[in-house]
Amino acid sequence: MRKVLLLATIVVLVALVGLLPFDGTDIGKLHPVEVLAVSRKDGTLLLQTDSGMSGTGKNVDDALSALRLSSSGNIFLETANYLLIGQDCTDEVASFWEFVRPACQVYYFKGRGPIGEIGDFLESHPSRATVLRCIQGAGEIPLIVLEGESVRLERE
Amino acid sequence: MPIYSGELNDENLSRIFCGAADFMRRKLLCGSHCVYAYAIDGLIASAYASDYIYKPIANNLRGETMKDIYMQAFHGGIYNNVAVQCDNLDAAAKLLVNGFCVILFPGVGAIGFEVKTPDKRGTSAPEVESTVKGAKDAFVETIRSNTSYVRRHLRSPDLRLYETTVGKRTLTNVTVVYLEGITNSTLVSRMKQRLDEIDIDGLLYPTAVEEYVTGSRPTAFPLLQYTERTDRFCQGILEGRVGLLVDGLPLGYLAPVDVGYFMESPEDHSIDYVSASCIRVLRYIALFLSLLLPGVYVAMAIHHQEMIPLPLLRSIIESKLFVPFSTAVEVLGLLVAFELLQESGIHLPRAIGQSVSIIGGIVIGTAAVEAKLISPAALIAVSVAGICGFVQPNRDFAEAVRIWRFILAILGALAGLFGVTVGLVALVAHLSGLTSLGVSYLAPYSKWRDMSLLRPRHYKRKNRNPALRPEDGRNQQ
Repeated sequence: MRKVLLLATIVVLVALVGLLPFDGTDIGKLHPVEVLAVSRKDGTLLLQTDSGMSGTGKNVDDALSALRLSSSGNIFLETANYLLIGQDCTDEVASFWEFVRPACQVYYFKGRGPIGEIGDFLESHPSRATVLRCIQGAGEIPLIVLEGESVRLERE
Repeated sequence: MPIYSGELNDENLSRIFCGAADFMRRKLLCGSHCVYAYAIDGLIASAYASDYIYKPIANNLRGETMKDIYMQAFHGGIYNNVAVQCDNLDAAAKLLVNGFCVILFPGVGAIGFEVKTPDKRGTSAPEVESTVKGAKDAFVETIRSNTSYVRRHLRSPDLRLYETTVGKRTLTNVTVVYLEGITNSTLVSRMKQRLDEIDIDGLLYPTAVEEYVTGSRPTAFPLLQYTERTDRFCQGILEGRVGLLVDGLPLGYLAPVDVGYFMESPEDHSIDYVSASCIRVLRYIALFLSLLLPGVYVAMAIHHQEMIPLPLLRSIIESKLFVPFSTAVEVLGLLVAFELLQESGIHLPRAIGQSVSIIGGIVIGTAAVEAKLISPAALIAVSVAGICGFVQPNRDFAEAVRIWRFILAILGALAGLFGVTVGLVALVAHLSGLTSLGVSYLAPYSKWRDMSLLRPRHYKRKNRNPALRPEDGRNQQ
């Protein structure tokens, strides 16, 4: 009887393992993102990452889907430390709540320049505005100006 | 229950050992009487037998009756330190296989005289539990030598040695060692009872001793502490533990034990308490790293990548470029390879073993990484865990931790940190259910004040371990 119970317990445990909600992704297949830039162009939303990938769409979900489809691996937004938003995209910050960490720092940005090169600059100039604080309506969002190769910080 | 039945006479005794080429039988004359001498060649010192048994028999023993000769022999007519009377075949046979020369006085009885050969392995330094400053005498295979070592460290007249034999065929001598007035009598009784209940052919291997004495519970964790150091054995007796010496094994066993005891090293008592405390804390950290690092690494790499800082994450991802295996396969494969390396090092001769281990490590470490079969991050995680495992002073405990390391790695691969947590909870539940001679395995951690994380100064250790329930709780005023 004891052996039967033990066997039944093992079968149940193995079945439970199969029902676990955890769907892992091997770390080797990830494309981590540090900087995510959101801007609007011709009525469509443009998402750009520091790893050179981009996606466009009518809204955040569509743009993210396009971004994921354009990637050769799994875009990993949970590592995004910095969210750059165009000054006309303030309303979109709340949409990113599901995709990035609440502590992801938020900056306004304007101008043109390579996004992939500004991670170190942003690390040296931390923003007090995070995704969470922006949703709460608190925190002053600093402004980053991209002028080709150079970057500077303006406060608004 | 006696093994051999029948009258104690020459015919029966010779029949027991017929076919044994080392069985010696001599007929000796004492005046007009005839006695028989028996011995096992190789177990006795022939010179001693000749000078102290045969010569006195021939020169000194005279009497009208066999009974007179018997009494003369027993009361000093034969020069020997130990004289044991045997009134049955069983006793005579057991004395013969223990290095005694048995003299049969037909019609009266037999007397066994101890003339054991002095051939035995000399005292050597401990091989595994070596220290810089501690004593350098380790146990040997001869039980009487071991009891003499214990006596030299513990010169208390209250030291008690309860001797018994275990194993119907091997008749292995086993000695229970304890200090009367300190060791809890219940522990001693339990140990004696466990030994009396053993019903096997032979007790030749350490695991046989451990499994029978502890009750062979389904656990990888040791429930009996073994040591090759005489000072550590005596310290355990002094703390109120029960000791066990087994003839043929160069080890002393101590019970009861708990996890805190396995985390102590003999070196702790050879250095100052500050250094010893720091090393002990390091040892605990190493224990957790050894147990958890591979599982946590797999869990975070597969399920919780967001917990890894971005620079480290990028570094790991870059290192995994072109590696064809998943992180789970990498880590589990490396754990298996690590075990294979260790196992091969044990079984190979010493001259080759070290070289093979080093080469194997280099092959796995360097060539496999360069061939992009494994990533450096996984290799480092498994190697650090392996090295931390070697920090544990007790090998049996470290091997149990290695097994659970595997389990936690599998659970981490399947269910992330949730799986690792479930595994840890199961481990703690398992450990808390273990007892060693009635003492809980996690006893040191049940009360904050009893935790032995740091090594206290000797003058502050005024009380013995209360978990052992010693009869005298104070060890100094």
